[in-house]
Amino acid sequence: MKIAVCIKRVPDMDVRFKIAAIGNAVDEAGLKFDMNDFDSWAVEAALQIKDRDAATEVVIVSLGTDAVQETIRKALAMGADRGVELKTDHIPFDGLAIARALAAELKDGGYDLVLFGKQSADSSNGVVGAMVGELLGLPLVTAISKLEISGQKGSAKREIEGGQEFVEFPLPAVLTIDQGLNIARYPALKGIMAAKKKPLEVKPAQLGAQTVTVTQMELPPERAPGRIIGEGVAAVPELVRLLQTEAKVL
Amino acid sequence: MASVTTTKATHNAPHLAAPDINPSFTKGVFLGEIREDLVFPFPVMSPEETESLRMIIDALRSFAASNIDSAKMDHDGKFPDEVRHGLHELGLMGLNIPEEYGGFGASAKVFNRVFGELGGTDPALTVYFGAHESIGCKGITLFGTDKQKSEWLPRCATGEIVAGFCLTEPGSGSDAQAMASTAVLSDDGTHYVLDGRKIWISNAGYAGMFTVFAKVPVTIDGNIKKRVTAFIVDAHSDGIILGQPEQKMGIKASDTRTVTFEKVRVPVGNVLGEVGQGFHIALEILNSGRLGLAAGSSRGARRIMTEAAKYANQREQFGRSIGSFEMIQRKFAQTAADIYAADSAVMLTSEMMDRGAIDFSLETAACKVFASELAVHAASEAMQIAGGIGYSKEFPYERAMRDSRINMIFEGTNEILRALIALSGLQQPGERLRKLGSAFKDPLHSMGEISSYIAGRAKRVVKKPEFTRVHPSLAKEADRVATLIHTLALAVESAVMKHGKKIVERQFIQERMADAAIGIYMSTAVLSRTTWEIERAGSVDAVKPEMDCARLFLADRYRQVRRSIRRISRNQDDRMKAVAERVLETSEAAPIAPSDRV
Repeated sequence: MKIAVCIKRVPDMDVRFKIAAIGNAVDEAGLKFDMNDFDSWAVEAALQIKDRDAATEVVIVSLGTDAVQETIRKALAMGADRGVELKTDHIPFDGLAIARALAAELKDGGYDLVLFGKQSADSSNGVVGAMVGELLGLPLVTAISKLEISGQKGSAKREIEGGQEFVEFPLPAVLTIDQGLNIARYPALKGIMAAKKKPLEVKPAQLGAQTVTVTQMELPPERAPGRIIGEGVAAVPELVRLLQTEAKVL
Repeated sequence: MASVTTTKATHNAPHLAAPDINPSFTKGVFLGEIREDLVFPFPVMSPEETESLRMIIDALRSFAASNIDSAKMDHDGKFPDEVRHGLHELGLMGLNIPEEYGGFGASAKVFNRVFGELGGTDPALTVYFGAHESIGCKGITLFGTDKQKSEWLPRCATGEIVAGFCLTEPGSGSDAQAMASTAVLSDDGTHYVLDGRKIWISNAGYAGMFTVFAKVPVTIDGNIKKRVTAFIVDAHSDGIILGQPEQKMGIKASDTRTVTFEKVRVPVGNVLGEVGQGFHIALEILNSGRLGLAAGSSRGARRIMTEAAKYANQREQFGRSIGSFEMIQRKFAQTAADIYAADSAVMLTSEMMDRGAIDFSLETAACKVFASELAVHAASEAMQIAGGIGYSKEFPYERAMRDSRINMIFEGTNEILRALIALSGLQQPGERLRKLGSAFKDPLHSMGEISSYIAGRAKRVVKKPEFTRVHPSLAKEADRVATLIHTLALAVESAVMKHGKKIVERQFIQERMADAAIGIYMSTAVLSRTTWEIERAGSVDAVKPEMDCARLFLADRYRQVRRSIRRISRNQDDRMKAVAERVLETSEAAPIAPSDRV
């Protein structure tokens, strides 16, 4: 079996972001970057298939600047076989442009499965996987939380509002992975060493036309400081009044 | 027969100090020299190393966050098997084992950073890894034959074999030469018979192999001499008896036991190095192993002060956070400056180990002394900041105090390391080899030879040295460190003149010399690192946090070192000795209290 996993390098979201001087992007200075969590579960899903069938080849594809090589090597350290960097000077916002570049790389690769994370932690578009499925003309299943592959058939579970959905699909297929499918393994020291020797190919990304752009970014407004209205039972009527008229939560 | 020569092939090797041959920064300081090429430029890791390191640290942190419960391990007095095995699977047991023997082959820079990370995570686990790879199987990496390496290291790297280091005995702690364990060659010459008792052996309960030191009787000119020799011993051999786990103050989860050897058969092929080389081997293992302790201590100090900072922000008294009070701020500022210095010195010393052909033995000792005392002090300051809750078992402060304290005791007490720094500093490179042969290989036990040499030494004129590679914005501070080096060298000269042979007995003075040398080395590391920080960032303004810590540390340390040097000649030592001897003679800690005179 041959599996491609498309991964994105994203900033650690656990920080206070600043907006860059140009106004439509995040200031990347001082940010820590890592593999998008959903994508790490996609990598893990591929590696679990490889654990059962050693003949499986897992190829990591990532679009971006040369900085993505570090993220690709992390996936290689986890156990993937080789990597492909689709090089650009920045990651565009336009999901369709990204999907075209990925599809161009994947279409003649002979992949049985193409895996994505359900969405990226930074832009949260959640469209690239689906668009690649469309561009490749393959069956698409999104937001998978359980996966079984047997022969040329797959079955999956999806979490939907108020319940669960069980689906079946033929291979080759494009899948996007939700939380809960697995826990991604840590790269062990042996894997980190081995990753240095695994092939990592760099190709220009064939993005094509980009029609959607970000014009402006804004931080959420600062929250107003809390205030103390009074103490004890006497303050309750005023509190209720303010919750109704000012905060409008009652 | 007993060979202690260090071959050319090994004295250039990384991770070997070879103090008899290689140049040392601190020994230069005792001569009033600044051997700047040993401490500049400040080291950097290659991008490849940085990337690997980040992956290792990330993996370790994620693993720790979901698997390591230090409070529980402290309470239970043991590591859960899943924790040990999980960390084995990550490959940490082979971090510094060479790649060709199944390890990661980390440089000292990477090793000590990862080791530091462990130190900031759980000190007991740090001892588990330290006992295994800093000392337990490090001797095989440094001195083993290819056959010994292939036989043991691959299994040590996976954690299939956990290693332990057996040096200390009931009657032989700091004085390692006093060991009573013996290994006698069998009549058929196929094996040694090992007898003896080793105490405080970390990892004993898990161990698959021990590096054991014992004396081998050797006939030289018709006399039987006993020569310390290192052995690789299969921990499952017949005749090895483990004691119960020791109940300790801290690092409780670490497995510490007595290991008794009763007629244990050790194949001759398991002699590590040569017969008689054991003491040299033990010292070299400890020379490099000590730096890991320093790295762990420094990170431990960082962690507990980070914890205290969060608390100080959130705890309010008198209507404001306690962090806004200056008595609390003083604690944060001083520990920040000290941690800055410790981090700088650990990195600089790691580079000395990686470069090879540098004697780093006094620098690793200096780092160990400084960082272990910092960790204990920081834990105490953090507890003070936390106040009442600091004393509660529900919070990590009291555990940090208990866990950090061992670092001042093991792998060479801070006292013996200060003596090592002072006595080694009192040797003059070059001359000593010619005049004294092997006496200096073991300064603590060759005091007689050293004294006669020192007494006969001609007084030299010492010129004030200069730093030439420090950033101009630190010129004043660098000049002050140079002044300290100059005055220390002069003070050493006069002390030698005044005390002659007796200097080897004058530990009041040795302690001050060592404190001065440690302060000078830490200051030099700060100058080197801060110069690098400025050059890297392109301006002084861009590195204000670093610069402030550097200036704070350098000013503070200047005063302390100056005081230590002054007290080499102006002191109350006679009185101090009289008081101490009275205490010892009467076994009464102080003169009888007035209220006791009934």
